[in-house]
Amino acid sequence: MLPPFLVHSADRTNEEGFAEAAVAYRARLHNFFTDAPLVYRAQNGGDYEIPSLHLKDGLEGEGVTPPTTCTSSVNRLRGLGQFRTARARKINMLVKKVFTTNGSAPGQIDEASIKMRPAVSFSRTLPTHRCWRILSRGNASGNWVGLHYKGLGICGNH
Amino acid sequence: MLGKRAMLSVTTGGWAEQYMDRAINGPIEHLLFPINHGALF
Repeated sequence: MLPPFLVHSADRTNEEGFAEAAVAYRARLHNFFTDAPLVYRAQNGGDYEIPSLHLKDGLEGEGVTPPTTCTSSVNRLRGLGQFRTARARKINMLVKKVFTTNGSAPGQIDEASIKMRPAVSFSRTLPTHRCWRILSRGNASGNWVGLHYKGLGICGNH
Repeated sequence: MLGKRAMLSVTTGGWAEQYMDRAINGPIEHLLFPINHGALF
């Protein structure tokens, strides 16, 4: 499976944009059999736990399956979840206080400073291709990191 | 599909910046994941 060929804003393109896209598309097709494929993992290839089919710890990476927007730390913590019901998933999504951090600048995540609150659990049943998003903000008492689940609003600590 | 190659050719209505992490439409990898990984891989 190769990375997709994308033409953005295609509805507002012009002759020039079309020509550029055509050149780029020809190049992609020319290299179709030599370009590196996306790094997807075989179900039974040893990277997923059986039978949960969750990625094993330590195998996360940029641009590999399952795609995530998390840091590896958060990804690991996601594996600690206990709740499996839909209701519990919702609760998890709405959890507000998840991590505390010290010292990371607003907008940045300092992985080493992320501490897990043991009482908080992540659901194993969250789809792996949709991931908790990490938000960070600075405040007077130190910086914090909140989580945001796609489409369900911001969950920051207060 | 084992051993075969596939590539989606996709046009979008939004700018590239709208298909990135934290952008309104979500990362393009996520949008295409059900096809790329679910159907074609």
